[in-house]
Amino acid sequence: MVVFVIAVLSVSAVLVPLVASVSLVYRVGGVVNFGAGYVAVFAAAACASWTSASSSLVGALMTLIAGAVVGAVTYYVAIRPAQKRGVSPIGLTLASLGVGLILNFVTRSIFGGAPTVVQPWISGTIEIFGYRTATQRILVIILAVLLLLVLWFVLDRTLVGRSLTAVSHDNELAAIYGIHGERFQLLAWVVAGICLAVGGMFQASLASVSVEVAPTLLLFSLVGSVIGGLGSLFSAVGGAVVAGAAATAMDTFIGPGLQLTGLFIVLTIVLTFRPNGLFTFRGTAERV
Amino acid sequence: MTNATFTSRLAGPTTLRIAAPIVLALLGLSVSGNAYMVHIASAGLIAYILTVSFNLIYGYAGIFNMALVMTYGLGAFTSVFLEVKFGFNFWIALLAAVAVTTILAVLVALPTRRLSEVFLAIQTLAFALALAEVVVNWKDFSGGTIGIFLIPPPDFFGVLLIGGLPAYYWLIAVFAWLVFELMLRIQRSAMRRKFTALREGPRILSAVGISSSSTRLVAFAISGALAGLAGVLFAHFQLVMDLDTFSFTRLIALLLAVILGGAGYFWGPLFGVVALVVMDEVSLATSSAQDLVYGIGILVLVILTRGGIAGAFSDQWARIKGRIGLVEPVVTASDTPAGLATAAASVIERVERMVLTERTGTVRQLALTDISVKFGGNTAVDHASVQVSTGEVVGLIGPNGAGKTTLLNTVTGDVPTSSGSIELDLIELIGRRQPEIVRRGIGRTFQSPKYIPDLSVVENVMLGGDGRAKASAIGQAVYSPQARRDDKRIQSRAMELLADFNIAGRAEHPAGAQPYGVLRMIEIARNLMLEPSFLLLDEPGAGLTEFERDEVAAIVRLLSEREIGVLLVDHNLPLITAACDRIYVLQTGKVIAHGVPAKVFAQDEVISAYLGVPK
Repeated sequence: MVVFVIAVLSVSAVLVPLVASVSLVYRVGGVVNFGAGYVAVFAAAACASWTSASSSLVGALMTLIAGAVVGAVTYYVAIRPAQKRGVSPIGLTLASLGVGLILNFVTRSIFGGAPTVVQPWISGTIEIFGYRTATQRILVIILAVLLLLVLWFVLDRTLVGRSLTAVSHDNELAAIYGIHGERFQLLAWVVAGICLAVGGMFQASLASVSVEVAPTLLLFSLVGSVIGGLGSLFSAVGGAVVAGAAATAMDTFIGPGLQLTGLFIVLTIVLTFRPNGLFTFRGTAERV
Repeated sequence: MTNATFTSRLAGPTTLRIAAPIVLALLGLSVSGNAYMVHIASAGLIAYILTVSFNLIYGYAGIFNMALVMTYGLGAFTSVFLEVKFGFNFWIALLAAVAVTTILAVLVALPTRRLSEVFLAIQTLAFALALAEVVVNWKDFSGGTIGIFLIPPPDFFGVLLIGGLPAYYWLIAVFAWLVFELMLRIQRSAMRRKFTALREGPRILSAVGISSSSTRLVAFAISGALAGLAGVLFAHFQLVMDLDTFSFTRLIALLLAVILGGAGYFWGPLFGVVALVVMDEVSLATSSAQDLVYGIGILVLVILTRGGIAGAFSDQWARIKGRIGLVEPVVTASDTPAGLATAAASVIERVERMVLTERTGTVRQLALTDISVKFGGNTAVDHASVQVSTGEVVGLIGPNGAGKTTLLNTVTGDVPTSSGSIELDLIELIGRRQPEIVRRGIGRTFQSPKYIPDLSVVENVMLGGDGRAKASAIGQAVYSPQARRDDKRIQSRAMELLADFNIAGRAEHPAGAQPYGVLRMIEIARNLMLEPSFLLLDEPGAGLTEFERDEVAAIVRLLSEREIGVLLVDHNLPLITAACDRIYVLQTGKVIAHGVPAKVFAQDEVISAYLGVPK
């Protein structure tokens, strides 16, 4: 049981930053970021390479900066021009996929694209309720919780967060009250890029990451946030935990190599019975 | 439609129909000496079939089905599995594999019924990746991660059609020709109208009595079958395959082919495939740079173009035609909506012809009793009762937010009621699906006119008749003789109605380019195609000029004389007084007055509700 719980928590810990990122840009700009998996893979490879070149801390910091840059570039190169031309939601999604593909090329050309691991930030093992596991795993879980708290504080408790919410609800109205919508969309993409970088580093510090896993990571982050509900940070994070549990349960109880099948089954059930997400509790009736 | 345009419409496809096999044969003959060229031509034609399949579901019907690439893969693996494991012959295996992929596509369609575009993309992507996982674990079927090697070549009366050789090219060419022919037929049929409506305005489909979910299933089924066919052909062409062939990267290439060629355009898949083949040949899109090229390609296409190569050609073509005066719009003075007023005298005799059905003399009754509608905690309609009989015009007035439109929406099933009953000739309508309500004789218009911008004016009107077409879905897709007869009948009826409304000159123009008054007329004409007993008009006078409004009032009166019951929501008192036999006044969801217009408007409550004068 302990094994299972820790496994679920560690899968979820990787997913938390990813779904936070996906749900953030969805809320602010209505874009489902199909490039998410590629950014995470890029970050994993970058962090591995830069860590071995310098130190863990420097490698991680540089990766975070790179994530922020990728976010900003995505917004300026793909999202904003497309929005200006009134491209449909599916078009915006495709544009984000386009950026992802270009980034994947960058990952391959600079870092080779072979499976890489990030050196654990903390070595050794730790025993919890008689189960021994890598200390790094526990560290990642704790860091994920911390990240969540920071995001919650910034997005929910500060003026910046409020403005972001305003932009996400009604860009034009926010503009009337003097909020620069574009600036906040940019901010959302930068934060989202950092989150994806964090997710990629987490994953690579626990298991190896190669360019082939980008679609899988993408799917996990999309499905996680959809299961929970794209409407808020916490519902999406809840979805990440459910997605993590579904995949781990498939692995533990059914057999290896069927994680995505588990994910698909949960997604289908949720979309059938609660299309707005498991953790979306707003009772809004839609007028025709 | 004039005879000239009608023949040109027929002539186009006939030329294409003859040209297609000739082009394919010439292509085959010209490459047959060169093994490499045979290979490229064969691969290109298979890619064409697959791209058509994606263009159909995404470009035509607007459904972003990311599972399609796995459908293609499943077609390939299924056919080989049946041949190797059970000794099926190629042709039987082909049929079986196509059947499997068709069923699979329908299975994908069912749980995604109510999802929006982006969510559907996520769900189908999840399905594709999950299916890939299951298939790779089923080693007998897919050869696991290693793949399958010994794929037996098809046997055609003793001739072995070995993949990559000219004989196999001819096999693919025949199928590509059949697919082209099918698309040509869909292009002309009611099916394309329905797909376009599904993409651009699913509410119109249900408003004309066509089930959008079955139209959707047809789109999924056809595209699934085509993807399966492409898969089978691909497997026997390659002779070796593994699951990587059907990976995410393949999906992206497919996507690129469709949007590059022009999603939703007949020629799109052809352009897209040719462009991709050329890109491959100049090794732009090979090995390591592939992601880069695809990524930039997608970005540029999405941001800068609309309609890809085919879209650009069609824009150019329209410009050239405009310049040489081929399609000079036939807009006469009486053709503009304002000009309708000048023709008002003849409106009576025209509307006389508008309703074709034999009048029976029986009076039908539509009764809304004690209807309540709640949105969350808000009561929009509060125990309201309204009755309409055929042959009378009943007005529904009230201040903004009084619940008029909501009440109208309950009749067509657009809005669920929380209590009360809606009976048509004593048959309860609540709980019935909208297409059925429409078929029972209730048509409606919307507050802002709904139309399909990408269809022509006459096609928009024809949609109203498509719900009553006799041909089956398959018949419509292959444009069977029955479908042709339906089309002919529906088209001539639609043209009659357009002539009656004095907008026949615009019949062939895209509806998206029409002014507001014409859109209103399109909507009313589309509803008359349904030959309804009741017509619910939601603010038909809104946004019209005074002349146009008089015209609407005259039309409404004459409809009632032709035994149609009209329930009219409007704000315009002159229109209401001119058109209505009786009116109901709604305020905050309640009926506060009811009777003949003159008497109702004399009541203090009504004056106070409408003008704000204290009682």
